[in-house]
Amino acid sequence: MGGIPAQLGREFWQALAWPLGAAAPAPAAPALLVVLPALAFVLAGLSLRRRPGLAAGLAIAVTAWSLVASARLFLTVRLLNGELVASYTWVAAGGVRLEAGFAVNPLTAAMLLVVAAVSLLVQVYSTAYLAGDPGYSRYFAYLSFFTAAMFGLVLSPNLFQLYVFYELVGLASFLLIGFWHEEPGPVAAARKAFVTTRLGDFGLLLGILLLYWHARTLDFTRLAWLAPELDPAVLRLVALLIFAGAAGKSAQFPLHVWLPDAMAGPTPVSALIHAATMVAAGVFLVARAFPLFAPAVAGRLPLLVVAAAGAVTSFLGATAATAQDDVKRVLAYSTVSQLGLMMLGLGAQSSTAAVFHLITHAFFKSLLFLGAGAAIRRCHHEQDIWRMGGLARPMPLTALAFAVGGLSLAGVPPLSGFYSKDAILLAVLEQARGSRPHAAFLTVGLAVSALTAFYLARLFFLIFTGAPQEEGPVSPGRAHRPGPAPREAAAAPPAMTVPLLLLAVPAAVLGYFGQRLLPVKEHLNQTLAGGTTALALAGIGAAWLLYGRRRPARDPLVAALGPVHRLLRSGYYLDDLYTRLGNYLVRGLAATLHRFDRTAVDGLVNGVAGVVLLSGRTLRRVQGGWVQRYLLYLVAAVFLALAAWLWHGLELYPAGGMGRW
Amino acid sequence: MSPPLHHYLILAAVLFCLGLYGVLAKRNAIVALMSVELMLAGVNLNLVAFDRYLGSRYLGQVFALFTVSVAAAEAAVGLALVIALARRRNSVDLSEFTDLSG
Amino acid sequence: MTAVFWFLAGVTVLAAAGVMALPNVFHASLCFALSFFALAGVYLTLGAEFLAAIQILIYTGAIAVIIAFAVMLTPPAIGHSNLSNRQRLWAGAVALLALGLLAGGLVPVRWPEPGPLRATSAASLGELMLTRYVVPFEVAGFILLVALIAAITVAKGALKP
Repeated sequence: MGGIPAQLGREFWQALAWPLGAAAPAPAAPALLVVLPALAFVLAGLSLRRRPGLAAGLAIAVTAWSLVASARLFLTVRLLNGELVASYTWVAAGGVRLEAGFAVNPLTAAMLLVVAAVSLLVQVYSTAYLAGDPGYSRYFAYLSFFTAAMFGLVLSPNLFQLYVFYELVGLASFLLIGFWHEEPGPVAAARKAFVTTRLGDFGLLLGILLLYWHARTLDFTRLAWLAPELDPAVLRLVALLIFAGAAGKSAQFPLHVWLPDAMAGPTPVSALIHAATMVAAGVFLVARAFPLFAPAVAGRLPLLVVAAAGAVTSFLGATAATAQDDVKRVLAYSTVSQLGLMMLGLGAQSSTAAVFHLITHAFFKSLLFLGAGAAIRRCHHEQDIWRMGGLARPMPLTALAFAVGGLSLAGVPPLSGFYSKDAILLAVLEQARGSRPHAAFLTVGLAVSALTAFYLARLFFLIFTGAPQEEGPVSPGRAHRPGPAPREAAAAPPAMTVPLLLLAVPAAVLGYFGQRLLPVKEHLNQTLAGGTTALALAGIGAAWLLYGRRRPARDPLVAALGPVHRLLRSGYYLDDLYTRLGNYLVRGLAATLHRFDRTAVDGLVNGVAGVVLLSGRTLRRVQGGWVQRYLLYLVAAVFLALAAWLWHGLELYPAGGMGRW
Repeated sequence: MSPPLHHYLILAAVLFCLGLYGVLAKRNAIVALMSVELMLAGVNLNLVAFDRYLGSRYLGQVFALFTVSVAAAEAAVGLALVIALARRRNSVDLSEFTDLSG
Repeated sequence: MTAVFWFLAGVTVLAAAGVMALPNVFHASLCFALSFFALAGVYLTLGAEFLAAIQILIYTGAIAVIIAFAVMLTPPAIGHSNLSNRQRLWAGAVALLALGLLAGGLVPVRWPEPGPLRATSAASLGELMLTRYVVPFEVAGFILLVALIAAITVAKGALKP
């Protein structure tokens, strides 16, 4: 007689030891991917507040375990060439049945691996970046929380569980953007991110409810089977609603405005959450629910909307990125643009290409962010690229890593970004034959390629080359931000450079090997590859002419483009537009409600109040505060009701007596 | 020869109703608490009797054990409250505590 | 067996009535203990030895003792007398109504005959508690712990004015 606790304990240890080479199969191992970081969150958040080193160590150890476990899961799934699924009934109420569990297939396993790898490197990096911050333990607790939620999201076998973790991931993002919660900026940014993504999430929830209403299941595998039999009109609506959720989280136009502001959080957080993993959750969601988007079952409209949103987002992001002065905002708009590109890939019916780009992007974009973070830290938390410069000499490793990441993102062969971006453009090209919208999307994609190379090269030249800028006064508002002392800032510590170099490896070579690991069936199209390479080189050349050859004192684009530059710089004035629209709507609604309130509601309320007053005066005698009297009323009422029931001939007990149980 | 089931059930009902009377009509809070315990004892007897006569494989007895443990917890907290009341208000007369009057 | 049952049932009911009727609360608490002691005997006639033992341990042992303590710790003016309040007639009426309804509902039903009387082994009960009912068992333990802490906190909080 072992008992359930003993059995649970045994399974826990088996699952824990599984990635370390234990031969016995451990069905609970994927569940531990969620449970262990959650435990680390609780421990680091509650009991290790005074032991920051221990909190960080615990978080990093758990993430390292997750990385090994993810790797082994990835290999297992590849060997099986199938899916590991475990699902049990979580809630069964009436006709509604909700399930919980996990599903590991090549897509989710690859995603797990990316999340674990980037998380681990970012956590190691953070030990140095946030050294001495008073919220050190809290920071690592939040990071663990994020990791747990992200793993849960990726492992979800059904849309409902995915939705739950989707919200948890959003919460983690909110907490981490507002990590420096003593300052107004991060708090406002956190709120903005939360509210904006919530708009999309509401659509997702509606979509899930509608889908459950019609399909009676939310399980991805079963949905894939069932989708062709469902009503295409309903499915079209469901797909659009799910895409609304994806657009919120993955910062697609018109819900992308929160992402540039989200850079108010610590730079490693921007790297992990707002560049590599969480913002990709929307792309992942669409890829996971892809059978619902298939033209055969839902018509052409949903994927066309996805592609159009992706193309618009991509273009807006890339153009806005060329006009930013804050290094993190450049990278944020770049992320917006690349996420748009992934959506474009999905819209072109190639979820493999989109996921491929998602994975490579996770590595080189987090590399760029971490490199930028090192530079920012070197400049005493100065983020204005016009106040930086010449950093290649004091920090050559960072400059090298940043260059690798930048060239990869710019799509220079044979680095990763080249392969994945070309896979997407190739998918669009295939669709473009005989479809006018897709031809336009392809043009946008090519333009974005050139712009990407341009703004990345601009960033590199302004930060790392030229003469070092004399250290001006630290801009106000950042002065009191807890940061390293100037003496420490002199050189990047190994905890920061090693993750950079480790990230540079996949950023460089993952594209080449990824083609073999992932089932990317598209092979290179010579013309397209040559064209994008030429565009990327042209972009870099233009940036060199403008910023690299001789460092200008001011941005020459300001004079050249005039009002257009201001438009780009403000992110197309969308923030202003939303503020005004919001004010207008809210005020109008408020005025209407006010009138209604004065006449109808107040009249009703006063009338009700009169009745209540009168009855209250009568009834107060009943409520004497004497509990036994209340109890007498209660018991008398119960037994009188029982008596009335029996009086009407209703049997209290079954007439034929009770059978044996 | 065992007595028939309804003898046990009626004994249980008598205990329950005596307890009910005590809860409703006694001024001393300690007596009211004892009355609650009597009501619970009635319920418990029901469970055990049904367990034996309907052959439910000890389900009733296990349930009764849980009732006993909850009753013990209730007695502990209830008596602590009585003692707290006695110290604060120098009285355990339930008729005096009417602070909830409206 | 039936005679034994009638005797124990009589003691149980009389003692319980004593709790209601005796003018001194201390005597009432003694009756309370006696009533539960006899009820343990009733459990024996049902073949529930373990429960009977538990009943004696917890009620006549622990709860009766803390009730006696509570009686001694309360102020004597009213604390030691067992008075009824002004709604006693209504309370009696409701209790009688309840008894009538319950008995009236119970008697006409044709109840099943019992199987042979077998002693419940404590071992099989214990095994049930630790396997099939392990979650309720743990929850009950947790409730007891919470009640313990609550009792201490409440009673201690009363000490500081």
